[in-house]
Amino acid sequence: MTWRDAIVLARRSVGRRGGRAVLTVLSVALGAALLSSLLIASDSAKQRVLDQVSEGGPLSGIKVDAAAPSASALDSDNPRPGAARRIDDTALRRIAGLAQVSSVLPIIATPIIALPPTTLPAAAHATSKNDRPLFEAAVGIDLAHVSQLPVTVIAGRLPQPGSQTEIAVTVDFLQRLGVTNANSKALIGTDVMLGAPRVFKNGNERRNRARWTKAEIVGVVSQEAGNGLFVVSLDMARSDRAWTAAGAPIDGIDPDPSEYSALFVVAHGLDHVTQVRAEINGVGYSTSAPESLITQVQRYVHVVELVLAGIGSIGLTIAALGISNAMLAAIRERRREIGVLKAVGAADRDVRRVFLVEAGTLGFTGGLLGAGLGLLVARTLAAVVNRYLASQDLQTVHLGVPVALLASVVVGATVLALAAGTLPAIRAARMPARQAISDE
Amino acid sequence: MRRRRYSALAASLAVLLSGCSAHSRAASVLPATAAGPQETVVSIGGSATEGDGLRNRLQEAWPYLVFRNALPISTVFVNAALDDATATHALTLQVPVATELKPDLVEVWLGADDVAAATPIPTFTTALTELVTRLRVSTETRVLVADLPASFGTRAAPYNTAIRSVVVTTGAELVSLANASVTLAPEKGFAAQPDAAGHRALAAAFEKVITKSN
Repeated sequence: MTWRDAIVLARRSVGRRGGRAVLTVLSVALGAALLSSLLIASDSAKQRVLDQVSEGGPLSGIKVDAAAPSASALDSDNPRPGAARRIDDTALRRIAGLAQVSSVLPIIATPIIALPPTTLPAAAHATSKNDRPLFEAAVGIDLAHVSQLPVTVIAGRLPQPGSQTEIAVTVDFLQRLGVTNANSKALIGTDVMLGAPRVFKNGNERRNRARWTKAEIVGVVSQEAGNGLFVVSLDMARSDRAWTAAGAPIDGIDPDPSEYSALFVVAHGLDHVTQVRAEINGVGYSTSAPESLITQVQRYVHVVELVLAGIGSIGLTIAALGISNAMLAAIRERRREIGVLKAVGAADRDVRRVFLVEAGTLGFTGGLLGAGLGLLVARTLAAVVNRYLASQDLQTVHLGVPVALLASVVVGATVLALAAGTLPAIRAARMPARQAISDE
Repeated sequence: MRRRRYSALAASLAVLLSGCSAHSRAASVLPATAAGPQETVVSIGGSATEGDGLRNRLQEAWPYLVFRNALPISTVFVNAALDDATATHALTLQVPVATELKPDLVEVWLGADDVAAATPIPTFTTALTELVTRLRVSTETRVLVADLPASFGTRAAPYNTAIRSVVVTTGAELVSLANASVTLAPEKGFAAQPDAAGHRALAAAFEKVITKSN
């Protein structure tokens, strides 16, 4: 008997007992749906928690300040930096050359005067007056490699790399205008005037003259790359910083002489963060990274994942027992058929194959349906949770399509069904032909 | 029969695909801004150009109105104006700022503080000529010079004559405020100051010249 014959026989058997097959498939589907929805939900929750801890950036991200390290630099995730120290291209290259460093991106923060649009779109439902300038800072980042930085887009998009006319605003900016996260999209497309301040001294007289540019808000972000309300291109931040730095001290504070305000370093994995931090401290710069917190959170989340996977697996095992029961019932009903098969020359392995194909088909179909159903359930739950989070003005949860996870649920359901069908298949295969026909 | 057997598989695939399509629905985003080449604009002037007397100078003073409303998004703008600046003061303290920026367009409105300070006309003329000449180091640089509006009274007439002659001799462009209704705020300081409506009229006059020649 060929595989093709076994498949035809299994299909015929399933079709003949349609009701039972549908119920068996449904029980597998429900088990698979429970498992997949729990795993998708826990995966998304894990990602959300880690994003929150790592502030949207890579988990192995390290912030390098334009300051010397303090004596206890490695005892804390966020140590107090030492004396100011310039970060220039030489320092950047030196840090980039360290072992286990994956990437190094510069950050330029520069003081800025911002004039929001006098009339905001009605859809923004702004609760604050915004006709006064905001004395704040803009954060220039490498927008071509933003995935390597602690920046999360909440609405719209990020400015184009190198743009001098596009900016993204932060959630803090929304709060200054009295605009909620839910209404933030209304700000996209509006213009802001940004002025880089510069103090001109003439004798004892000090005059501030700003270098003004107009910029379009293209997105709303949450970011921890630097302290500032606006995310701009490195070029834009550099131009503004050059104007400010050429002037006299602002409020008694000398313009920052450092070429870069900070660096964001990504290590080759969380395990190497401590080593890389120590090496950067050795180069002479203070670092901070939430490595201890991330490791602890990962441990707790893993425990939760194991518990949820256990609950889902129980559901799937119950479904597998259902398959086993259905197969045993099928053997009882099909003794004559088994007997005839053996009488016409079918070997034990041929009979075993027919039953295993049938069990595998039920498991695969149930697993496929269950994976789809699980995704649907997870999406529905995410929509409910996101509606609540949005109403509380909190960042929503992003639910992706975990293809690998869904595929493993389908494969798992099929394997479990094959395992559940093995005992009935062996029993059917070992049944002597004469006994099978005579019992009938 | 066969069709029925395949229906379960088709249904499960449909569920999976609907999940995928819901995920790929991206939020609407703005296309990249097609900003033109960066142009630098500088304004030079006295108290009024700095926005003295206004409730919110950054929102109401004429140079900011022109910048916000009439200039392309790629423009870089610096207001070099200073309180009580006569043409001589502007030459010393404002022109270096402007020349450092290598501007494409300079907006000049001087004379009001000279009227208040009663600057001799020859001194005013010499300083303004020197100022415009130094700003026009490049023939590409457009220099717009505004005269004084009728609301400044008869004392402004000789200064207006001087401004118009400087415009002609230096090749600058005149922003005529003769017919602009530049209303004045109640006088408090050194020189007469336009009110918010007056600043809007000033901005409109500058915008007219800027857009006409573009």
